[in-house]
Amino acid sequence: MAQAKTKDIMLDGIFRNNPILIQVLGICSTLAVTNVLKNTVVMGVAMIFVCAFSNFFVSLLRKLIPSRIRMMMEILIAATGVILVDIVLKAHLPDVSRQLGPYVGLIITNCIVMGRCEAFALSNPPVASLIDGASNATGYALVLVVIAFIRELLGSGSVWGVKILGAWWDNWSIMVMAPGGFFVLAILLWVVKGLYSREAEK
Amino acid sequence: MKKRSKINEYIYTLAFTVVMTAICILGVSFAYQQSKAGIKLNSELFTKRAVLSAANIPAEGSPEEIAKTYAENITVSKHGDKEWYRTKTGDYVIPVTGTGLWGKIDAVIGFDKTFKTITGISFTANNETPGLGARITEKWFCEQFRDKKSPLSFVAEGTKSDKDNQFDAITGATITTSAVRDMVNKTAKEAPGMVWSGK
Repeated sequence: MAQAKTKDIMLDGIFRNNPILIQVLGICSTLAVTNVLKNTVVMGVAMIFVCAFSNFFVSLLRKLIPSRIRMMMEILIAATGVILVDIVLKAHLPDVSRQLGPYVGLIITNCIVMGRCEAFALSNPPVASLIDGASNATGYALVLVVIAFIRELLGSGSVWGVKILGAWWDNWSIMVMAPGGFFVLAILLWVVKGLYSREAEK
Repeated sequence: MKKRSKINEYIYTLAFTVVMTAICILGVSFAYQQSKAGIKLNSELFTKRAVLSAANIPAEGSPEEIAKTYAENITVSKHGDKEWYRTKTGDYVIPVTGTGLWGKIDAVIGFDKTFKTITGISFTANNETPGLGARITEKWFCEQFRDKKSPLSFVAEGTKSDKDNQFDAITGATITTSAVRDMVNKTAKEAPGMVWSGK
Protein backbone atom coordinates (compact mmCIF):
# COMPACT_ATOMS: atom_id res chain seq x y z
CA MET A 1 0.00 0.00 0.00
CA ALA A 2 2.66 2.45 1.09
CA GLN A 3 4.81 1.26 -1.76
CA ALA A 4 2.13 1.97 -4.36
CA LYS A 5 1.81 5.48 -3.02
CA THR A 6 5.55 6.10 -3.18
CA LYS A 7 5.54 4.93 -6.77
CA ASP A 8 2.65 7.28 -7.54
CA ILE A 9 4.45 10.26 -6.02
CA MET A 10 7.56 9.50 -8.04
CA LEU A 11 5.73 8.96 -11.31
CA ASP A 12 3.74 12.14 -10.76
CA GLY A 13 6.82 14.23 -10.16
CA ILE A 14 8.93 12.83 -12.95
CA PHE A 15 6.40 12.21 -15.72
CA ARG A 16 2.66 12.64 -15.24
CA ASN A 17 2.89 16.02 -13.58
CA ASN A 18 6.34 17.07 -14.77
CA PRO A 19 7.09 20.52 -13.34
CA ILE A 20 8.35 21.97 -16.60
CA LEU A 21 6.39 20.19 -19.30
CA ILE A 22 3.01 19.99 -17.57
CA GLN A 23 3.01 22.59 -14.80
CA VAL A 24 5.31 24.94 -16.77
CA LEU A 25 7.19 26.04 -13.64
CA GLY A 26 10.84 26.98 -13.22
CA ILE A 27 11.23 28.12 -16.80
CA CYS A 28 13.74 30.90 -16.09
CA SER A 29 16.60 28.65 -15.04
CA THR A 30 15.62 26.19 -17.75
CA LEU A 31 16.51 28.83 -20.29
CA ALA A 32 19.60 30.12 -18.52
CA VAL A 33 21.70 27.06 -17.74
CA THR A 34 20.93 24.70 -20.59
CA ASN A 35 23.50 25.67 -23.18
CA VAL A 36 26.23 23.38 -21.87
CA LEU A 37 25.36 19.84 -20.78
CA LYS A 38 27.85 19.54 -17.92
CA ASN A 39 26.63 22.65 -16.10
CA THR A 40 23.07 21.51 -16.58
CA VAL A 41 23.70 18.18 -14.89
CA VAL A 42 25.36 19.86 -11.88
CA MET A 43 22.45 22.30 -11.73
CA GLY A 44 19.99 19.40 -11.83
CA VAL A 45 21.74 17.56 -9.00
CA ALA A 46 21.85 20.75 -6.91
CA MET A 47 18.17 21.28 -7.57
CA ILE A 48 17.29 17.71 -6.51
CA PHE A 49 19.15 18.23 -3.24
CA VAL A 50 17.59 21.62 -2.49
CA CYS A 51 14.08 20.52 -3.36
CA ALA A 52 14.26 17.32 -1.30
CA PHE A 53 15.95 19.17 1.58
CA SER A 54 13.40 21.98 1.80
CA ASN A 55 10.42 19.68 1.32
CA PHE A 56 11.66 17.38 4.07
CA PHE A 57 12.24 20.10 6.65
CA VAL A 58 9.09 22.05 5.82
CA SER A 59 7.11 18.86 6.25
CA LEU A 60 8.90 18.07 9.51
CA LEU A 61 7.96 21.47 10.89
CA ARG A 62 4.57 21.74 9.21
CA LYS A 63 2.60 21.52 12.45
CA LEU A 64 4.80 24.09 14.19
CA ILE A 65 5.07 26.74 11.50
CA PRO A 66 2.52 29.53 12.07
CA SER A 67 0.55 29.70 8.83
CA ARG A 68 0.94 33.44 8.35
CA ILE A 69 4.71 33.20 8.07
CA ARG A 70 4.87 29.81 6.36
CA MET A 71 6.20 31.25 3.08
CA MET A 72 9.02 33.07 4.85
CA MET A 73 9.97 29.86 6.59
CA GLU A 74 9.89 27.92 3.32
CA ILE A 75 12.23 30.45 1.72
CA LEU A 76 14.49 30.40 4.77
CA ILE A 77 14.82 26.63 4.66
CA ALA A 78 15.32 26.54 0.90
CA ALA A 79 17.94 29.31 1.13
CA THR A 80 19.86 27.32 3.73
CA GLY A 81 19.93 24.35 1.36
CA VAL A 82 21.05 26.51 -1.55
CA ILE A 83 23.92 28.07 0.42
CA LEU A 84 25.05 24.62 1.56
CA VAL A 85 25.16 23.47 -2.07
CA ASP A 86 27.06 26.60 -3.06
CA ILE A 87 29.67 26.07 -0.33
CA VAL A 88 30.12 22.41 -1.22
CA LEU A 89 30.58 23.26 -4.92
CA LYS A 90 33.10 26.01 -4.12
CA ALA A 91 35.10 23.70 -1.89
CA HIS A 92 35.05 20.54 -3.99
CA LEU A 93 34.19 21.45 -7.58
CA PRO A 94 35.72 24.94 -7.95
CA ASP A 95 35.76 24.84 -11.75
CA VAL A 96 32.10 23.95 -12.11
CA SER A 97 31.20 26.47 -9.44
CA ARG A 98 33.04 29.16 -11.36
CA GLN A 99 31.18 28.30 -14.55
CA LEU A 100 27.73 28.19 -12.98
CA GLY A 101 28.37 31.56 -11.40
CA PRO A 102 25.20 33.04 -9.93
CA TYR A 103 22.85 30.30 -11.11
CA VAL A 104 23.30 28.04 -8.09
CA GLY A 105 22.26 30.88 -5.82
CA LEU A 106 19.30 31.50 -8.07
CA ILE A 107 17.85 28.05 -7.32
CA ILE A 108 16.16 29.84 -4.47
CA THR A 109 14.02 31.76 -6.95
CA ASN A 110 12.93 28.57 -8.67
CA CYS A 111 9.20 28.34 -8.20
CA ILE A 112 9.32 24.54 -8.11
CA VAL A 113 11.01 24.61 -4.69
CA MET A 114 8.38 26.74 -3.02
CA GLY A 115 5.60 25.30 -5.13
CA ARG A 116 6.26 21.79 -3.83
CA CYS A 117 6.56 23.05 -0.24
CA GLU A 118 3.18 24.76 -0.53
CA ALA A 119 1.40 22.09 -2.52
CA PHE A 120 2.80 18.95 -0.93
CA ALA A 121 5.08 19.30 2.08
CA LEU A 122 2.63 21.34 4.17
CA SER A 123 0.06 18.54 4.13
CA ASN A 124 2.14 15.37 3.94
CA PRO A 125 4.59 13.47 6.18
CA PRO A 126 8.36 14.10 5.87
CA VAL A 127 9.43 10.97 3.98
CA ALA A 128 6.70 11.29 1.36
CA SER A 129 7.61 14.96 1.01
CA LEU A 130 11.27 14.12 0.56
CA ILE A 131 10.37 11.71 -2.24
CA ASP A 132 8.02 14.24 -3.79
CA GLY A 133 10.67 16.97 -3.76
CA ALA A 134 13.34 14.70 -5.21
CA SER A 135 10.97 13.36 -7.89
CA ASN A 136 9.81 16.78 -9.03
CA ALA A 137 13.37 18.04 -9.18
CA THR A 138 14.35 14.89 -11.10
CA GLY A 139 11.57 15.60 -13.58
CA TYR A 140 12.93 19.11 -13.89
CA ALA A 141 16.51 17.90 -14.28
CA LEU A 142 15.57 15.36 -16.98
CA VAL A 143 13.89 18.00 -19.13
CA LEU A 144 16.87 20.30 -18.61
CA VAL A 145 19.26 17.59 -19.73
CA VAL A 146 17.23 16.94 -22.89
CA ILE A 147 17.19 20.65 -23.75
CA ALA A 148 20.89 21.06 -22.94
CA PHE A 149 21.76 18.05 -25.10
CA ILE A 150 19.94 19.54 -28.09
CA ARG A 151 21.35 23.02 -27.53
CA GLU A 152 24.95 21.95 -27.02
CA LEU A 153 24.82 19.60 -30.00
CA LEU A 154 23.38 22.16 -32.40
CA GLY A 155 25.08 25.20 -30.88
CA SER A 156 28.59 23.90 -30.32
CA GLY A 157 28.62 20.60 -32.21
CA SER A 158 29.61 18.81 -29.03
CA VAL A 159 28.20 16.76 -26.15
CA TRP A 160 29.66 17.07 -22.64
CA GLY A 161 32.39 19.26 -24.11
CA VAL A 162 33.50 16.58 -26.58
CA LYS A 163 33.26 17.52 -30.24
CA ILE A 164 31.18 14.94 -32.07
CA LEU A 165 30.04 16.80 -35.15
CA GLY A 166 32.94 17.29 -37.54
CA ALA A 167 34.29 20.35 -39.28
CA TRP A 168 31.40 20.23 -41.78
CA TRP A 169 29.04 21.34 -39.04
CA ASP A 170 28.30 25.07 -38.78
CA ASN A 171 27.50 25.90 -35.15
CA TRP A 172 24.09 27.47 -34.70
CA SER A 173 25.18 30.32 -32.49
CA ILE A 174 21.58 31.17 -31.68
CA MET A 175 21.26 27.85 -29.85
CA VAL A 176 23.72 28.82 -27.12
CA MET A 177 22.09 32.20 -26.63
CA ALA A 178 18.84 32.80 -24.78
CA PRO A 179 16.52 32.55 -27.83
CA GLY A 180 17.78 29.01 -28.45
CA GLY A 181 16.45 28.02 -25.05
CA PHE A 182 13.04 29.48 -25.88
CA PHE A 183 12.87 27.65 -29.19
CA VAL A 184 13.88 24.24 -27.90
CA LEU A 185 11.65 24.48 -24.83
CA ALA A 186 8.66 25.62 -26.88
CA ILE A 187 9.06 22.82 -29.41
CA LEU A 188 9.47 20.28 -26.62
CA LEU A 189 6.34 21.57 -24.86
CA TRP A 190 4.43 21.45 -28.11
CA VAL A 191 5.41 17.85 -28.82
CA VAL A 192 4.70 16.62 -25.29
CA LYS A 193 1.39 18.45 -24.94
CA GLY A 194 0.40 17.16 -28.38
CA LEU A 195 1.09 13.57 -27.37
CA TYR A 196 -0.78 14.05 -24.09
CA SER A 197 -3.91 15.49 -25.62
CA ARG A 198 -3.98 12.78 -28.27
CA GLU A 199 -3.87 10.18 -25.52
CA ALA A 200 -6.60 11.98 -23.59
CA GLU A 201 -8.86 11.94 -26.64
CA LYS A 202 -8.66 8.17 -26.94
CA MET B 1 -6.16 25.69 24.20
CA LYS B 2 -7.56 26.23 20.79
CA LYS B 3 -8.39 29.85 21.49
CA ARG B 4 -4.90 31.13 22.01
CA SER B 5 -4.93 34.82 22.69
CA LYS B 6 -3.76 37.09 19.90
CA ILE B 7 -0.80 38.32 21.92
CA ASN B 8 0.39 34.78 22.53
CA GLU B 9 0.07 34.03 18.84
CA TYR B 10 2.20 37.02 17.94
CA ILE B 11 4.84 36.06 20.46
CA TYR B 12 4.87 32.49 19.18
CA THR B 13 5.26 33.68 15.58
CA LEU B 14 8.07 36.03 16.50
CA ALA B 15 9.87 33.48 18.64
CA PHE B 16 9.50 30.82 15.97
CA THR B 17 10.99 33.13 13.33
CA VAL B 18 13.93 34.08 15.51
CA VAL B 19 14.71 30.50 16.52
CA MET B 20 14.42 29.15 12.97
CA THR B 21 16.61 31.92 11.56
CA ALA B 22 19.21 31.34 14.25
CA ILE B 23 19.29 27.60 13.54
CA CYS B 24 19.66 28.15 9.80
CA ILE B 25 22.41 30.74 10.25
CA LEU B 26 24.25 28.44 12.64
CA GLY B 27 24.07 25.58 10.16
CA VAL B 28 25.33 27.69 7.27
CA SER B 29 28.10 29.31 9.33
CA PHE B 30 29.26 25.93 10.52
CA ALA B 31 29.40 24.58 6.97
CA TYR B 32 31.26 27.69 5.84
CA GLN B 33 33.82 27.47 8.66
CA GLN B 34 34.36 23.82 7.84
CA SER B 35 35.17 24.48 4.21
CA LYS B 36 36.71 27.94 4.41
CA ALA B 37 40.28 26.68 4.24
CA GLY B 38 39.46 24.46 1.26
CA ILE B 39 37.77 27.29 -0.62
CA LYS B 40 40.71 29.63 -0.03
CA LEU B 41 43.17 26.97 -1.13
CA ASN B 42 41.17 26.36 -4.30
CA SER B 43 41.13 30.01 -5.23
CA GLU B 44 44.85 30.43 -4.54
CA LEU B 45 45.60 27.36 -6.58
CA PHE B 46 43.49 28.75 -9.40
CA THR B 47 45.50 31.99 -9.43
CA LYS B 48 48.80 30.12 -9.28
CA ARG B 49 47.83 27.91 -12.19
CA ALA B 50 46.77 30.96 -14.21
CA VAL B 51 50.03 32.81 -13.54
CA LEU B 52 52.17 29.77 -14.38
CA SER B 53 50.24 29.21 -17.57
CA ALA B 54 50.64 32.86 -18.62
CA ALA B 55 54.39 32.59 -17.97
CA ASN B 56 54.49 29.46 -20.13
CA ILE B 57 55.75 27.29 -17.29
CA PRO B 58 54.14 23.85 -17.41
CA ALA B 59 52.10 23.20 -14.27
CA GLU B 60 50.70 19.72 -14.06
CA GLY B 61 49.95 17.31 -11.28
CA SER B 62 48.68 17.61 -7.74
CA PRO B 63 47.96 20.87 -5.91
CA GLU B 64 51.18 20.42 -3.90
CA GLU B 65 53.28 20.04 -7.04
CA ILE B 66 51.74 23.14 -8.59
CA ALA B 67 52.36 25.12 -5.40
CA LYS B 68 55.97 23.93 -5.45
CA THR B 69 56.51 24.88 -9.09
CA TYR B 70 54.98 28.25 -8.33
CA ALA B 71 57.17 28.88 -5.31
CA GLU B 72 60.29 27.93 -7.30
CA ASN B 73 59.53 30.15 -10.27
CA ILE B 74 57.38 33.11 -9.39
CA THR B 75 57.94 36.14 -7.21
CA VAL B 76 55.67 39.13 -6.73
CA SER B 77 57.19 42.36 -8.01
CA LYS B 78 55.83 45.75 -7.07
CA HIS B 79 55.57 48.51 -9.67
CA GLY B 80 54.24 51.64 -8.04
CA ASP B 81 50.96 50.55 -6.51
CA LYS B 82 50.62 47.60 -8.86
CA GLU B 83 51.57 44.04 -8.09
CA TRP B 84 52.95 42.05 -10.97
CA TYR B 85 54.45 38.59 -11.02
CA ARG B 86 57.97 37.94 -12.17
CA THR B 87 59.50 34.64 -13.17
CA LYS B 88 62.98 33.52 -12.32
CA THR B 89 64.06 34.24 -15.90
CA GLY B 90 62.83 37.82 -15.68
CA ASP B 91 59.57 37.51 -17.62
CA TYR B 92 56.60 39.51 -16.39
CA VAL B 93 53.05 38.33 -15.71
CA ILE B 94 50.65 41.25 -15.42
CA PRO B 95 47.09 41.12 -14.05
CA VAL B 96 44.79 43.06 -16.40
CA THR B 97 41.11 43.96 -16.35
CA GLY B 98 39.18 44.69 -19.53
CA THR B 99 35.59 45.39 -20.50
CA GLY B 100 33.75 42.55 -22.18
CA LEU B 101 30.16 42.31 -23.42
CA TRP B 102 28.43 41.74 -20.08
CA GLY B 103 31.02 42.84 -17.56
CA LYS B 104 34.68 42.92 -16.78
CA ILE B 105 37.17 40.33 -17.91
CA ASP B 106 40.11 39.57 -15.62
CA ALA B 107 43.21 38.03 -17.08
CA VAL B 108 46.89 37.59 -16.43
CA ILE B 109 49.10 38.25 -19.45
CA GLY B 110 52.71 37.14 -19.60
CA PHE B 111 55.46 39.04 -21.45
CA ASP B 112 59.14 38.42 -21.88
CA LYS B 113 61.37 40.93 -20.10
CA THR B 114 61.54 43.25 -23.12
CA PHE B 115 57.72 43.29 -23.45
CA LYS B 116 58.08 42.40 -27.15
CA THR B 117 56.79 38.85 -27.02
CA ILE B 118 53.72 37.46 -25.28
CA THR B 119 54.49 34.33 -23.29
CA GLY B 120 50.86 33.49 -22.62
CA ILE B 121 47.46 34.58 -21.40
CA SER B 122 45.08 33.12 -18.87
CA PHE B 123 41.61 34.33 -17.96
CA THR B 124 40.77 34.38 -14.28
CA ALA B 125 37.22 35.80 -14.32
CA ASN B 126 34.62 36.78 -16.90
CA ASN B 127 30.86 37.13 -17.28
CA GLU B 128 30.73 36.47 -21.03
CA THR B 129 28.02 34.40 -22.70
CA PRO B 130 28.53 30.68 -22.02
CA GLY B 131 29.23 28.92 -25.31
CA LEU B 132 30.19 32.16 -27.06
CA GLY B 133 32.34 34.79 -25.32
CA ALA B 134 33.06 32.52 -22.38
CA ARG B 135 34.99 30.28 -24.78
CA ILE B 136 37.98 32.60 -24.24
CA THR B 137 38.89 30.27 -21.39
CA GLU B 138 39.20 27.31 -23.79
CA LYS B 139 42.69 25.95 -24.17
CA TRP B 140 43.10 26.51 -27.91
CA PHE B 141 42.20 30.17 -27.55
CA CYS B 142 44.70 30.88 -24.78
CA GLU B 143 47.48 28.74 -26.29
CA GLN B 144 47.50 30.63 -29.60
CA PHE B 145 48.86 33.77 -27.90
CA ARG B 146 52.19 32.20 -27.06
CA ASP B 147 55.14 33.88 -28.81
CA LYS B 148 52.88 36.39 -30.56
CA LYS B 149 53.92 40.03 -30.85
CA SER B 150 51.78 43.05 -30.11
CA PRO B 151 49.97 44.93 -31.67
CA LEU B 152 47.71 42.00 -32.39
CA SER B 153 44.73 41.81 -34.70
CA PHE B 154 42.29 38.93 -35.09
CA VAL B 155 41.18 36.82 -38.02
CA ALA B 156 38.20 34.47 -38.41
CA GLU B 157 38.01 31.43 -36.15
CA GLY B 158 39.62 28.40 -37.73
CA THR B 159 42.15 30.37 -39.85
CA LYS B 160 44.93 29.14 -37.56
CA SER B 161 47.08 32.05 -38.70
CA ASP B 162 50.82 31.54 -38.35
CA LYS B 163 51.61 35.26 -38.54
CA ASP B 164 53.02 36.41 -35.21
CA ASN B 165 50.66 39.38 -34.90
CA GLN B 166 47.36 37.60 -35.58
CA PHE B 167 45.13 35.37 -33.54
CA ASP B 168 41.90 33.50 -34.25
CA ALA B 169 38.73 35.19 -33.05
CA ILE B 170 35.72 33.40 -31.59
CA THR B 171 32.78 33.26 -33.97
CA GLY B 172 29.73 34.99 -32.50
CA ALA B 173 31.79 36.76 -29.86
CA THR B 174 33.31 39.70 -31.72
CA ILE B 175 32.89 42.10 -28.79
CA THR B 176 34.61 39.72 -26.37
CA THR B 177 37.40 39.01 -28.87
CA SER B 178 37.94 42.74 -29.41
CA ALA B 179 38.09 43.25 -25.67
CA VAL B 180 40.80 40.61 -25.38
CA ARG B 181 42.74 42.14 -28.27
CA ASP B 182 42.57 45.60 -26.66
CA MET B 183 43.63 44.23 -23.27
CA VAL B 184 46.75 42.64 -24.75
CA ASN B 185 47.67 45.57 -26.97
CA LYS B 186 47.11 48.20 -24.29
CA THR B 187 49.17 46.30 -21.76
CA ALA B 188 52.01 45.72 -24.21
CA LYS B 189 52.06 49.42 -24.99
CA GLU B 190 51.81 50.77 -21.46
CA ALA B 191 53.61 48.19 -19.35
CA PRO B 192 57.21 49.12 -20.30
CA GLY B 193 56.59 52.65 -19.02
CA MET B 194 55.28 51.36 -15.73
CA VAL B 195 58.21 49.18 -14.79
CA TRP B 196 59.51 50.35 -11.46
CA SER B 197 63.19 49.56 -11.46
CA GLY B 198 64.53 51.79 -8.68
CA LYS B 199 63.40 51.75 -5.12
